[in-house]
Amino acid sequence: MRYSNALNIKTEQGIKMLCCSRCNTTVSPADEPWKKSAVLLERPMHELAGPYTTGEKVLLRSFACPHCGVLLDTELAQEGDDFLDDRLF
Amino acid sequence: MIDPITFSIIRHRLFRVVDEAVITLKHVSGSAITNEGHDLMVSLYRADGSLLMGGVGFLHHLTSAAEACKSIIRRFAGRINKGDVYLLNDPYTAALHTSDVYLVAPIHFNGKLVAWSACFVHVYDIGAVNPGGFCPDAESMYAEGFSTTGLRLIKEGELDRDIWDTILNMVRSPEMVALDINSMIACNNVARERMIALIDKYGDKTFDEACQTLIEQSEQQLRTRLKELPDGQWRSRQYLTVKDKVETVVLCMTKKDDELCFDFTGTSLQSPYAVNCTKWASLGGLFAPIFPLLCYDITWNEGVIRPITMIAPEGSLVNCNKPAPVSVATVGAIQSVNNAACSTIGKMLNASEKYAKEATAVWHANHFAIFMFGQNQHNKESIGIFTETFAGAGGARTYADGVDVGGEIPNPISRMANVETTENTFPIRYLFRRKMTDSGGAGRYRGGSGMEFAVVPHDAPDGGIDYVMSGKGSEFPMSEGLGGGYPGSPNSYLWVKNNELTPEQQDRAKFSQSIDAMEAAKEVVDWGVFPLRGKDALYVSWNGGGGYGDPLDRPVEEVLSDIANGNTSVEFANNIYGVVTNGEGLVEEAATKDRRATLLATRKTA
Repeated sequence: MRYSNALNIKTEQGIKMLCCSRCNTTVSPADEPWKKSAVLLERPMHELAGPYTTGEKVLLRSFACPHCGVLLDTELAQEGDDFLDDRLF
Repeated sequence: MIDPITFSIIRHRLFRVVDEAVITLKHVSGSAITNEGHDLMVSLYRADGSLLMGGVGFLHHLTSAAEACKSIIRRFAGRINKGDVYLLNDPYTAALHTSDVYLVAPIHFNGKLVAWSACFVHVYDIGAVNPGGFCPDAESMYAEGFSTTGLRLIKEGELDRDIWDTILNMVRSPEMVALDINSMIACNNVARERMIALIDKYGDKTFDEACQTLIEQSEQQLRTRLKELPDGQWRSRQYLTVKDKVETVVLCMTKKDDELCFDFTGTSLQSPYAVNCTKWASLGGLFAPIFPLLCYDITWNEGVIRPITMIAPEGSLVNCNKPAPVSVATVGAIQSVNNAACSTIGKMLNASEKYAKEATAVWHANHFAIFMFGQNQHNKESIGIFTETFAGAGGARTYADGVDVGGEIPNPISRMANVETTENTFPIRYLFRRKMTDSGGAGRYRGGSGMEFAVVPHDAPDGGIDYVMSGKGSEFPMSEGLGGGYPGSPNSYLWVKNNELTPEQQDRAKFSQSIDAMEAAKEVVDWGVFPLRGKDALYVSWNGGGGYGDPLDRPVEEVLSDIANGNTSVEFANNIYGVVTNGEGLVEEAATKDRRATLLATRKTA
């Protein structure tokens, strides 16, 4: 079952789990905030190339699969902001 | 029950009524913002003011104009007659900001009120503290120009000269404002005549049944679609800055069964600056992406409004209290509401096998407003927007790149004026205007590119012009990516101070072809009124759309094509896409393989 282009939902021992759609690695239980279980790369946006002429406080969070490294999601944030917690019921 | 053929004919006739009314409006108005930018809207409403047929133009207005009709119905109860036309532009009653003036007109058939037509244009001026109506200097709505909760401008076909003269006495360039208002009167006249002809042909009873069926059909179609989509909760966060103050619009969208709820709890308190919006404006802002993204094959009417609820905390940026200033709302909080809704809807669609192809990253999220004003080369006072803001940039889809300079979600017909049109109206010369390299958010599918341009004074009787900048900051990107895609670039507004250069340097600056080639000092200008005089230049770049999917999944040949087409720089290709090229634009295959492996490893060990 699809959660997004990067994540699927599978059932393991009767529990719904989110897994990487690239390598099928389990990331987190589907009813928990999955981003805490992904690999987080958080850096000021201006460190990227190009016209990201942003200040230090503008952060790009990249959430990657802990096994294959594919990007699962991104979000903009300021330091200390909560993760954007998307979930299916 | 109405027969399906008659129903279909009436439905299509309603579309055509709106189309013809839009054409009429454009033919009469003389403003570039209307004719070129298509900052307009025409729609039809039921006798009770509910939306019957949403038209094209800025979709934020479809629900707000419904509220305008309802407000007029309440205010003028028992006094609404055939041939009346009402004017309303109060943001705390229904409008988005004072410059977007609604003209709503009742449509009577055999003496009975059967429908309304409504339209708006952003009028040439509204008598606010800043020319053009966007007021970075306003501390309250009382500095934002003429405002009314409802006036009967035309009574039973007769123009009320007292009202007309009063309005025109309060605005700059009254002849242009008169043309704007006349365009809306003409638009409503055409809509009324075509509607009466339609009702006359099929009978009021059949017409009413068709309208009722149309609304029920839309509601049923949207509810069916929502049921097919997964239940869940999706969040978005939009930042906007004014004078180093960061405001946040927070959205949690919940979809359960056949209903959607948009909850803005957690959004910043209302701002002292004019980026706030009222609740009607927020409602319009969130419906603007709902219509094209969820209802692309459903008639836009009251039926699609019913399954949707909105929670907008009172006293917040998205539901401010009077007299908070709101003149910059359309590029401020409303735009952020629109972006956040686009983002959450995109995520919901991306969670569905069936509807993933309809998902999109956020489009042209940093809509900007720069109004020029001053004496032009024809020795006339001229006020007008840089229509480039309407050119936009498309968000990436789940199967294709976003369209470069591809417009914007809330206005399906937005566009920009030719350079020559702007140069003919204002004493300026364009140094360049082109796609902005690296502006589209990176991803498996790239966000559409935005643009950049620079202008200098030219043939100006006063040595130049001034401009009102309502950029609400350029610090945070606003076009969010989707499913691992990066956000598009932020906007940039720079005052290039060529007047400080030596004569030799000024000679070179006359024909500068890029911001990097401009030698002069540059000052960020994003909020307030600024001069463009002498040899100085104004440089503007605007955001690209958000990207979709992992940038490392973008095929090398597509990145090379992006470089060749000016969408992506060699540096960006290397740093973000992991594609290494040589001096001749050819790929270094081994280096690219290594670079991509390094970027992937960096993620895993972060």
